[in-house]
Amino acid sequence: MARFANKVALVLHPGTPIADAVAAQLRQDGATLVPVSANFDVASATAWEQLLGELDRLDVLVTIAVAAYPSPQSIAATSLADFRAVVRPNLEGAFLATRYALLKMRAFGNGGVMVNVASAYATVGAADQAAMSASANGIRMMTKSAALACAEANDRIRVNGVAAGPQATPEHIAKAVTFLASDASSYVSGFTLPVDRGFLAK
Amino acid sequence: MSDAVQKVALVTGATAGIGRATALALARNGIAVVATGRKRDAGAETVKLIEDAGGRAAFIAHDANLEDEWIAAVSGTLAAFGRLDILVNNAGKIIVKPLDSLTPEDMQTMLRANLESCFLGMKYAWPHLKAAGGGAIVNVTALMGERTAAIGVAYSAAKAAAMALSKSAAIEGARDKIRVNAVMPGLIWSDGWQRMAEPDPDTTKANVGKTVPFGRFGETSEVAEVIAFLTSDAAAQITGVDFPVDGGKNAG
Repeated sequence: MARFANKVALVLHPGTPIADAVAAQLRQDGATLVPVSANFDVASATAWEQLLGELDRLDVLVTIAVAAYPSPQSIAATSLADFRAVVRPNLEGAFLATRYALLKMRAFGNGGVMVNVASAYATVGAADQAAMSASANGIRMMTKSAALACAEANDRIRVNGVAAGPQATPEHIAKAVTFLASDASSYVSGFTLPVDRGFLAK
Repeated sequence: MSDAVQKVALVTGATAGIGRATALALARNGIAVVATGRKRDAGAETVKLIEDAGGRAAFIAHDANLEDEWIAAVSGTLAAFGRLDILVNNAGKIIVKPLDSLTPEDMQTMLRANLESCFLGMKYAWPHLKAAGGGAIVNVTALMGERTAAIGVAYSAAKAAAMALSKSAAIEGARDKIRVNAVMPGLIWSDGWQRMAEPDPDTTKANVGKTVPFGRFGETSEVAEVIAFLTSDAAAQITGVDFPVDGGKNAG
């Protein structure tokens, strides 16, 4: 039987390469995808309430931090608005996704899994992408906190992440995401798995 | 999969616990498995379990602490199945004693069983993984190598060293298309725990399990699934990683 048969999955940022690869893999393995509009505002609580209000089941949530400065810029050259334009969708978006998905999953009572995809620059600095790097580590730590909170609540929800390295391909990120979203990782939670060809090991 | 080449894995300590579960998981994925260990009867049982499920396996008696026996185990694998693609260094040992009671011999035992065994396995498997066009290695370490406990100083140190060994080998392996990762089990219910917990293992399992965020011990199969993933092509871009399988304990 397909590993996501009868599962309902929500993947953010449709139309981006990672989201499309993740969605394709989930679909191939039997999941039903919740339709998400390409202009869905991940950082709007109202948008989340609307999107999830219509669902009658949710098993898998995949968030993807896709925001970065359009071109590399040093901190000295970065305005607060530039910084917020990255941190808000990435970190606040992941927070809202986690919060609303958690409420839904708990209400449905079937457990669930969340996978937060962010950059491998969460744990090493990126001189010209401070907001992306900072938000990635924020997501990594929120992943741990959410994992512990879910374990404490004994709600059978696991929360993990993927740290995408600069040379990682969407297809391989998708394979890691779907492994972490599957029952094969049933004793894994709070972990952010690097998919980075050894980038962080150096 | 008519003309696809069957991959071959060598799993140490495959006579019980995580090693046996890993051998079974790899075999289920169509990989031919050489199960190694010191206990012949238990090794034969692992092979029987795999063959009864329709897989291919062989047992090689092997003490992973001994260099000569590594040379024999690797050449035995080549003789049995013609190639080597995957190495799982699972065999290990634990000594739990207060620091001031640990002897230098205890420290040596820990380093040999948990560090040198991984080094020897990688050293002798490496040329064959390379010859196969690349390969994957998993060193089974322990969450205690990263998140230490008060009474396992020698064990924790040896496991931490095995993780550094894995990362360095991963960097070196990039050149030869060999991936090296470490898997860090947390509290996993095993025969060892079962024996230690007599005469009332169920009570121990429940009570000690409560110290894990998930509120339970992990099963050996839950570690085996992670090892099977890391050694598969799905993890082709994953190397140099320490992967905790610990019911969330790494998060806190």
